[in-house]
Amino acid sequence: MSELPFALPDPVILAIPAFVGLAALEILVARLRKQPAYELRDTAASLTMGLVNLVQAVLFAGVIWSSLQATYQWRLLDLPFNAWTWLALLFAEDFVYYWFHRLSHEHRIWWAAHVNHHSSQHYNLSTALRQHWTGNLAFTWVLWLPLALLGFPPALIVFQKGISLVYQFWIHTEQIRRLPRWFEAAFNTPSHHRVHHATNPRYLDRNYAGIFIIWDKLFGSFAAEDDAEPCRYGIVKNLGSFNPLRIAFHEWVEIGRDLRKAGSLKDAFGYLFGPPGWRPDGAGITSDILRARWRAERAAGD
Amino acid sequence: MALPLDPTVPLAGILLILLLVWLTGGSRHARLAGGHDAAALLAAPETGFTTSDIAVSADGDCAIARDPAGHVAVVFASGAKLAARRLRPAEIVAVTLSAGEDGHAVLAIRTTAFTHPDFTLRLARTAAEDWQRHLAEMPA
Repeated sequence: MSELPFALPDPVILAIPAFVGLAALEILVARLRKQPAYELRDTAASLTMGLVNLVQAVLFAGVIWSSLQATYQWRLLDLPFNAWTWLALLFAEDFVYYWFHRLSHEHRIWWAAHVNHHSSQHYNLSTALRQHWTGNLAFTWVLWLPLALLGFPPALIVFQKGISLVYQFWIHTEQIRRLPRWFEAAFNTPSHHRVHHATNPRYLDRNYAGIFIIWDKLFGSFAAEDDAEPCRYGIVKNLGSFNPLRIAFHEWVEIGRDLRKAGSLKDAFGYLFGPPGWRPDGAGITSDILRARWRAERAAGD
Repeated sequence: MALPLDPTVPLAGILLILLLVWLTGGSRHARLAGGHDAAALLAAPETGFTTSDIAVSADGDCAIARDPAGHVAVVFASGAKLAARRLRPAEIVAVTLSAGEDGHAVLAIRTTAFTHPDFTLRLARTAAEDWQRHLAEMPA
């Protein structure tokens, strides 16, 4: 069943030639600037992750679509298909994306699905394609169901999710330093997203935005890029592997090991839903602890 | 049955990008020139490791360091980048010492890590023996 007067295209599929063309351009620009932006094995791993992500998306499409349709039957509003509805969805979907992304960093079970996107020590357009394999298995897609309950047509929700993903491609680059001030104030940009991919304690778990950076500013998770402190990309404990299987499943394996040694249900819950790095003895190193240490050291140095 | 996506487009794109990366020198490999790079990486706040003693493998692939309390960390080449990792006694499976072909002793450390579990250092015999002994005694 389609509730729209016409079928909407999949923006991600349409954008694939642009992904390739822009990545090719970035490789050449980086070469001209003598920047070692790309590495063969890292890029191969990222592109393989992206390709398998497309396959899993096809496999899960039916489940997600059926769930959106079933939820839409219970919609609270009958929103018409027009430009105002799309504009409202642009913000509503981006709000959902912000919380999905924040949950994916703050709770280990969803971090396990998302961490592979952060596992490259490089930051370039191929990193954008280093996408998850297990996010749908971790039920992250249920966060979008309330949009259908509100009355947004499922086809429009799926379309907008695609638009958001395409938008987020071009911000994975070091070749663009800063954009006009008004744009940096409202939108997610390469500068804001470099911060998001950095492991420097001051940048850790910041800038979760999809399209609009306003959510980070509203909910206290914004950090501006400081040119005096260059971003160190990757994760706190870098993998040292370019094997896509290890990249995709390493955190799940670590969760399994931790669950095996959990002494109680409370510990098991903490290993699954606590922040990454959490340990029951309190000796774990989480992002908040790293940031607090950094702040204390900076204060001591002043 | 028609596929939702013609696979030739992304596959051709992947090949084109990989070819460009290769042609523009993308198959570099990081090498540690000395202990300074490794110690600086370990000193970054996210690792927070204060190096008091460090040994760099003769091939520049790996370095091993200890802090004043005796904790141990390694720095290793991961493609064109360097990565750092603390080693804890519980995750060390085996530490072996053998004679290398180039006159160095080969210190091999096997850990339980799911990614990059093995570290190999080519060191002078006495240094390798010292690190082997230290790994067996290091604090948790």
